[in-house]
Amino acid sequence: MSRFAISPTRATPEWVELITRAFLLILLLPLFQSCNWNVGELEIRLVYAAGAQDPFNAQTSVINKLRISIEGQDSGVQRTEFSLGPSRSGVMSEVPVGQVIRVVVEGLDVIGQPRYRGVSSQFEIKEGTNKIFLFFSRVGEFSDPPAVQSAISPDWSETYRTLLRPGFGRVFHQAVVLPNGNVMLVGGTQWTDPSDHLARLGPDRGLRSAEIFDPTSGAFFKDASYCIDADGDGWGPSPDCLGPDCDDSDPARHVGCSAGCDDSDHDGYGKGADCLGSDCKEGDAQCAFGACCEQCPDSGSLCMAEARAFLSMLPLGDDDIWLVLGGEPGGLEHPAEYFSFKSMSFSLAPDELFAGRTRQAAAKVGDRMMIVAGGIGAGGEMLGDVQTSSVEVSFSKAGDLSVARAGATVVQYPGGALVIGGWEAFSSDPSQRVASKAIDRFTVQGSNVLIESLPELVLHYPRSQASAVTFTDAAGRTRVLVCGGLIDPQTASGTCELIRPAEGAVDLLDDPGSGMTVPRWRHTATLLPDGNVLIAGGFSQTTAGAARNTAEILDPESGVVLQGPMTMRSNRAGHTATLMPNGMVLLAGGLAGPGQLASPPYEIFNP
Amino acid sequence: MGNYIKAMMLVLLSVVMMGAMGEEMDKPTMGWLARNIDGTGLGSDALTVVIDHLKSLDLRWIDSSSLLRRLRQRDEREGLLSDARMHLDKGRKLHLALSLDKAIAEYKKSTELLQQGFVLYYDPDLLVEPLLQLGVAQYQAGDRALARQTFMRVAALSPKLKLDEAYYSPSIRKAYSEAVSGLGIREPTIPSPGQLRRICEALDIRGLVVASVERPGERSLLRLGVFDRSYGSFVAVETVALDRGATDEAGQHLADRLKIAIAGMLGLRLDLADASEEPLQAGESSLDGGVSDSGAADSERVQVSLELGDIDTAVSGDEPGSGGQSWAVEHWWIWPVAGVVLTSIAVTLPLTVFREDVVDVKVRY
Repeated sequence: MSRFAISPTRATPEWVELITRAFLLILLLPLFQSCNWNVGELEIRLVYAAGAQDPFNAQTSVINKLRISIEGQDSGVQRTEFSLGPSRSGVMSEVPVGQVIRVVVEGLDVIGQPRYRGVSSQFEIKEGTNKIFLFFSRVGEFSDPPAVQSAISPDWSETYRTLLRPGFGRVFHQAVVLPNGNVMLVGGTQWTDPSDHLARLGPDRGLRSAEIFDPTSGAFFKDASYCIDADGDGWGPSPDCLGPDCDDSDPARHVGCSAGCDDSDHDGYGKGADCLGSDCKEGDAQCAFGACCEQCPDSGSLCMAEARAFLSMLPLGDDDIWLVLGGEPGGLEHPAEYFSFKSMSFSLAPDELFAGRTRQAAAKVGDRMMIVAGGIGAGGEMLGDVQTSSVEVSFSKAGDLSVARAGATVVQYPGGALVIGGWEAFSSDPSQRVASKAIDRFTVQGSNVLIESLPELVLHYPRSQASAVTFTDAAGRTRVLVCGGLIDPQTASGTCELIRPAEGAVDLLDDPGSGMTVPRWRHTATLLPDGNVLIAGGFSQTTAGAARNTAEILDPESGVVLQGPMTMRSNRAGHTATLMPNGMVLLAGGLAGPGQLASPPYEIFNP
Repeated sequence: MGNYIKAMMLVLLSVVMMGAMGEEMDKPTMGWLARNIDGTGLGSDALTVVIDHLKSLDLRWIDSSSLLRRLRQRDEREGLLSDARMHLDKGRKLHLALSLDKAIAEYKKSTELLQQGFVLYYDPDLLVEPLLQLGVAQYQAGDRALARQTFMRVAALSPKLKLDEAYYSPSIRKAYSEAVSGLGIREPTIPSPGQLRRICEALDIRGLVVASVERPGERSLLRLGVFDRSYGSFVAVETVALDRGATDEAGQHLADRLKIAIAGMLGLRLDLADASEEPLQAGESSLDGGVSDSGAADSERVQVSLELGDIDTAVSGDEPGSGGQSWAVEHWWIWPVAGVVLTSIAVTLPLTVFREDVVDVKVRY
């Protein structure tokens, strides 16, 4: 027996220590596996169409659940669903930073069908707080622009606007999808002749401005110098920098409209804290392209050098540089200018490129060739020449159209382009205008463009201001669906024709049920992601009639109406309809009626 | 897994590991060195009792077999064994080529290298071969006197060695027999303080308890010495006669004596409440009077914790299954180092290699 009282006398059993150490190692293991480190948040704020009911109103909502899908460019889809709750929010965990994603939020009904949907453009998730406003609208319907209370979301009002500028609209403009997925609206006009929608525009009747639409938020980006100039005097209230909407006679105009505005030469343009950049005035060379964007008649900072309506816009090889072609009134004097996506600026191209013109047909043929064909010359004459150029932009005459004409519809397809119909004669007297049945085919042949007018490649009806859309049929063949247009100055058409470019043939889609439900001209046709065609708006009557507020979806191969008529948010003609990368269609600008701009200025179709 | 949970887990892990290892870090380390104890006799029984009782001291023990293994590992790390083997092989080749002088030089290098280490403690047979070859070469070179001395050294290391007739000529065998004839068997005893100090320094331990069974007459004596590295000498040597049936009691008495000596040496505090000094039994003798002084100096009642592993293998050698515990205790410093390394890795890797930055997606509607 021990003579020493030792306490405690119990040694730790070996197996306990081993287990303890093993346990500690096991604790470490999860740390060596992929360790997700939360470095921020992506806040998605859903925004809804103005005037629409709250989609989540407990009494009226058809939405039972929300489904969020994060579609990674390289990492598949992360998806989660959650029921609606009083917090009006839901969380999805652990979306990797650094990857390019697209967010899809869908409101599902009780049987799991999406009734509302919001789809973002692709963007990269970054550390910190990422915040997007996501336009959330009814599936299968047209929606007004989003309405967001600035008081609730100051971020929104700092970044977005839901009005076109200036004066809330434009018509006969151009819309293009930029490489980053945004849509740019360029030029056009807002001053049309109430008695003749297609009347030539006089001096100072075109727009130089361009503006950028964000498909994610369903709104236009607000730029620094954007202002609401209610009285059209060039000065407007907040959010521009010019302070209150004061007029020319306002003694405060030069120095008082904006605190800190320094107009040292009292020419109305200042520097310093105002938005006008350097102290320059109209006519200064540095004012040409944005330094003094107040020169841009519509107060935009993104302005072309010349005002252009009925213009064309083609991307050159790398999508950075675009060529802006023709248009009136500026295109008659300066035939083209360049737009740089990287610098977001316009600059004039050499006037010697080709003869100035408007209402021309322009298209890319293949990857590297461009054509500019026909149009109306500076003297009002009908042009029939075809100018071709490589993307290095050096135009030369390569031939003539089968018939000189203006206002033709042009479509591109792989390896070629078609110039369809148009006016063979265009007079200031609408009754003297003559629509054309001609189709000219352009195909790449080596480093040249082959211009062809085939005997069977003619429309069954003369058509001007028709719509045309290229698609691939079930057999993989390129087809072009042409619908509507003016057959003559007094007659609009509701029929459609199917052009088979490779075969050099045209079929009139005259089977029962084929064709549009109503005659339309200066409407739009947009190929939807599901392969069908959205026909929207257009004038219903000739020359000075009202625009339609209906749309329909056609099967392009048969011309049969699959859905419609659907009601649009506004009567709209002379607008643009652009399929955005998020699968929705932006219908922007246009006329609602004689001399009347469409309102709301744009709407969004959620297929 | 949430980041907060991970962070908490890291903190918890660090605390637990450091806590578990910190206690081990502060304890002094002593080693056991058993000599001439076969593991089955009375000496082994008594020594087992001693070891059991000394476990209660709050220090870290290295059992005898582990100590010898560590000495061997130390020699291996130093390259002594491999170098000695190289010189031995080289000497053999030279020997076969009858370059006797060079062969002798190589054999000497081999033996010198082995003697620089601790071969004598963990595997004396390693020294036998080069010495025997050295003796043979010396004999063949005509240096009979040196050969005789060398053969005697061989016999001291390996008393039962018989030269193989297939390899050694009759003259060699005869010379060897003559050299070793009349030599008695010298049992291993407690090494000299100088040797023990070398061992302590090589293993970086505070001291050694050396056990040896000696048989001066009919009775076996178990002798235990406590060697203090700091002073380079024994602080206590206790000897007890081993009687069949009384080994437990003898072991306990020895343990009590040594405990006091060790406690005094290391400044440990003992609970001596009922540890009254009892006279040594008949047959016991104290060879070092300092023991009683150091043991009686501290009578304060204290608690001594037990954190030792099983050191029974000090006598019986390494046993499968017990090595992990012993190793873990021997290499106590590994645990705090490993703790720091693992914690650093656990923090660094998730932050670098395995880290995937994510964000939470919040939808507000």
